[in-house]
Amino acid sequence: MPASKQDKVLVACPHCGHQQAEPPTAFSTVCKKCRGHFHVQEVLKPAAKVVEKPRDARRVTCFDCGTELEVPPSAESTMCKRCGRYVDLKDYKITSAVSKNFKTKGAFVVEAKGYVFNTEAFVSDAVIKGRFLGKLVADSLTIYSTAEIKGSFKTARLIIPVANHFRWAESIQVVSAEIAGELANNLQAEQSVVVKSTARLFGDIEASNLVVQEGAVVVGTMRIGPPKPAKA
Amino acid sequence: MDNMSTATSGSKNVLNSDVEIKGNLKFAGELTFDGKLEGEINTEGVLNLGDSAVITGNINVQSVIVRGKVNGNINAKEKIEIKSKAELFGDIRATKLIVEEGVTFVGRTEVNPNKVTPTAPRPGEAPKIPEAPKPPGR
Repeated sequence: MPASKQDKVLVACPHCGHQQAEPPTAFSTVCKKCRGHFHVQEVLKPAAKVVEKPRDARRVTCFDCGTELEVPPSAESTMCKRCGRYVDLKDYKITSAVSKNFKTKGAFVVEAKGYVFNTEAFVSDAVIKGRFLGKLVADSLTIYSTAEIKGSFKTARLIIPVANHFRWAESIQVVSAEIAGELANNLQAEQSVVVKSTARLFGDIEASNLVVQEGAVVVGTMRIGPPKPAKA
Repeated sequence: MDNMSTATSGSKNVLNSDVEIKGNLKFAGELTFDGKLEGEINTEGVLNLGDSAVITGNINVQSVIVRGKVNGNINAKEKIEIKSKAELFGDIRATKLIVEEGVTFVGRTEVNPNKVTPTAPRPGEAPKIPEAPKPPGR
C-alpha cells in the first residue's frame, strides 16, 4: 500500500535546499528541483559530527624573530610563519666525536662517550654526559657528573640530576634551577631555585625564590627575595 | 634586661600578637609566639613563630617554624622550617632545613649535619680517582 501524504516527512535536498515530502523509510531519492540524487536517511539522521581531537601540539619559538610556533610533536622541522626562517626540530644524540654546529629546537644529548668540539650549539633541551668544547645555549641544561664542559654555556633552566655533581669556574646565571644532585658553585637565578631533598648545595645563592626540601645540604650565603626595584 | 621563662616542661604556651617583650625568653615544651620580642630566645623546645611575630635577636632552639619577621641568627639543633612570606635577616644553622616558596632570606646557611664536602673537583683540578689496590707482595 502506498504511503499516504500524512506518513511522509519533509526532507531538504542537501544540494539546493529544496524541501519535498518523502516516506520516512525511503533510502534515497531525487530532488524534484535540481534533480540531484541524495540519501534520505542521511538527511533525516545526520551522523554525529566527528569532533577532531586537538592533537598535542608543541610550542617552539623562531630562532630569529622569536615568534611562537605550534608544531606537531612528530615534526622534524618547520618554517617560521612570520619571517620564513627554517627551524630545525630534530633531536640529536651524540655518541662519538663530532665537530659541527647545532641549531635545533629539539633535544641535544651528548652521551658519556660523545665528544662535541669546536661547536656552537643553540638547542632546546641539552643533556650533557660527555665532553663538550665550545659555546652552548640551551633552554634547559641537564648536567651529569661525567660531563666535561670547556667553553661557555648559557641556559634558562639548570638541572643537576640526583647523584650527579657539577662545579664551574664562574658564577652561574640562570632563570631557574633544580638541584637534586650536588652543585658547588655560586648561583644567580632570576626566578626560583629548587633544592631537592637529595641535593647538596655549596655556594652563594641569589634568587627571587628558594625552595629547600627536608634533607638537603645547604652551605652558603643566601640572598632570597624579590629583586630590588632599580633606582630612578 | 629582664629574663622571662615559662614554667612546666612539655606544655604548650601561647603568647599572642599583643605581647611585647624586651628581654630574653626561655621556655620548655612548645611556644607559639606571635608578638614582638627584642632579645634572645633560648630553649630546648619547639618554637612556633606566627605571622605577626617580630623577633630582633638570636634564637637558639631545638626546632623552629618561622613565620613573621626575624632579625637575628637562628641556631636549631634539629629543624628550621621557614614558611612562605616569612622574612629572615640573619644566619641559620640546623640539622634540617625546609624553605617554602615566597620567603625573604638574607644570611648565611649552614645545614650540613654530616659535615660533607663537595665531591666535584675544582675547575682545572683532576677528579679524584680512587687508587687501584696494590698487588699482594711476593
